[in-house]
Amino acid sequence: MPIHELGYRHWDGERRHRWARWTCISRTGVTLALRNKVVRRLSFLTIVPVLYFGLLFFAIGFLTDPGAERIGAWRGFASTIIDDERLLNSLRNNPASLRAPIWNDIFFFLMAYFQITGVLLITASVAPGLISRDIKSKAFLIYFSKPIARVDYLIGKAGVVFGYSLWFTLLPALLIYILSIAFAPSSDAFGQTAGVIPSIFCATLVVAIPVTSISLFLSSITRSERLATFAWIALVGGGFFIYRILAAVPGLREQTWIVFVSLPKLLWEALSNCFDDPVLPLTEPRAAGGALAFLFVVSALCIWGTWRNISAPMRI
Amino acid sequence: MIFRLNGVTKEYSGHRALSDLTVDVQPGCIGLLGPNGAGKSTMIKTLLGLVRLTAGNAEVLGLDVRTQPIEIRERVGYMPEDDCYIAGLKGIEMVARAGELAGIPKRTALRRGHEMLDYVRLGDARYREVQTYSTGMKARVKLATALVHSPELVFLDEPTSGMDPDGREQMLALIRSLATEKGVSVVISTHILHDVEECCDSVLIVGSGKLLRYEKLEVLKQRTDNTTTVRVGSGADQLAGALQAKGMQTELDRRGVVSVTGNGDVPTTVLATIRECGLALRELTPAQNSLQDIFLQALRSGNQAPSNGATLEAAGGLDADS
Repeated sequence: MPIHELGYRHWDGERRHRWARWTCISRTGVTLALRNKVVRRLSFLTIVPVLYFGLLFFAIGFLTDPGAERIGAWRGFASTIIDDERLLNSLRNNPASLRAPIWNDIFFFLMAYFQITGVLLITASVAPGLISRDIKSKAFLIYFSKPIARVDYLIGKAGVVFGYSLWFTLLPALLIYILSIAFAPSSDAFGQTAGVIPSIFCATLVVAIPVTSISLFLSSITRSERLATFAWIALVGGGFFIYRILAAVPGLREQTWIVFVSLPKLLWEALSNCFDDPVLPLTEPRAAGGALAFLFVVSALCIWGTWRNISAPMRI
Repeated sequence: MIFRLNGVTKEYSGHRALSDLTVDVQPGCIGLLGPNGAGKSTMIKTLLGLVRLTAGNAEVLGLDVRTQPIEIRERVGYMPEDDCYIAGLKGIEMVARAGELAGIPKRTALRRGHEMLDYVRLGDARYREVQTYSTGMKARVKLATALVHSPELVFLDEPTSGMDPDGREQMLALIRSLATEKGVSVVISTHILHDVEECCDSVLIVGSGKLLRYEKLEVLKQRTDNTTTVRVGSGADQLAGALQAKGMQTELDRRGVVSVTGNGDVPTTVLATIRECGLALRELTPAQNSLQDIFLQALRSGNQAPSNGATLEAAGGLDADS
């Protein structure tokens, strides 16, 4: 028996606005995900690209500082990404003209390799149980007996995956950008590279929206979290495996359509729409526009499918 | 009026779950009775605005279910029948989150969550995950979840389903206190007649999606055949014989209780006869229908009578009294 039991009391305080209520669903999802040890450990991985690229921009800053001496070691570190001697020399001699394209390519590299991998991994840990667990435990009736609409539920669940996606894309990218400006020898670097900020936001959306919509759809088609996880791994890992096999076959390697079998490759291609003006020797995108359109259509279909699946329990 | 249905029909892919329901339900504790598949849960979901009406219109607390479902759910609580919970959450988290979903600020929702768990006697288990709760505890946490946003009306779908006798009594006591002390109108959907008799002041009977009866319980229980039951210390046989001699019909059961039916003022006649026979009166009560009789009778009449007739009769029921 509690010491200060108050019994049942009426409450007639002011309610929060309806449009803010989905945040409770997102917060619940994030909290529950963080109780998973794998998710907690993966979340710390976001610091790895910040450290690596922070050092890289420190090296570039050192390289482009006209007063700096003994740049040999830092030049070597910078060449891990900019492995073109002439380009490095040009950057040292005339940094103003090359900062924008080089920043652009480094952030593309960051997004296309580190961030996509991180997002796909964290999504495998977070997303599969988001709706499937609610189907299994019939939590729909708890949610929908409260004054929220299905759209609030959908946005709330999407907010969980989207939030983790931002943690792996936007947050480290912005931190790295701040470091890149902090390590630049002059404040002119901000004016020269400010164009990369919208590219970072664009890239974040290009990765987060399809990943969120596809993973939620997979979570909504089954009551088994394991099955949803398996489906996600099969889609991402299996698709990429098939792509690698197809890309190794002479004659098929040059075909554009093979990128459409792999979600990571599609995201990579779509990302290149956000970062133009390539200077570094990265693989040329082959179906950038097509990949973006395809991901858009797939995302729209997945959102529609998820909507139907979360509406289904109310129809019986 | 807590809710009003006007010609409400709901069809699911050809199957008619609710058929032309018309009724005005008054505040209080209402038992929603009906066999499995009668349309009780569909009716509740309709009133919460969770399912779309095929025809007709409905209002809850003066709000239209078609256009104001969110406003309705701000003022109404719902305890689902199913074993449902938000997986992974502790008891207090689930109740507090339910409060936040209803728009209560975070800190207030947490405070209300603790209060509700104390109220439903679940305070000791508040930090345990809900999926580890027993059936009775899950029912209580669902009740706390339904009450956390201080609703004016609560729908309880099979609130005592699967509970042991002790847990059931506790749950019924909570429901009674809600309806009688806290001023919350309660609709209990069940097919356990005992629960309705324990808590409710009126009964709404549905069968095959049709409304069969809606009446105050005390009115329903009154018999129309002028029967009185009487128990005497000894000499029940003698009393029965004397009453028969006066033209009354009597029936004597094994416990020595005599049911007396006749014309005129039956209790006065019985009292006079007891005095004449020199017997000791123990109990004299007008006979009542049992809820089971009422329920079965309503179902039988519902199966026989045309649906419109039953609906109109039911709709007129309480309106005439209130």
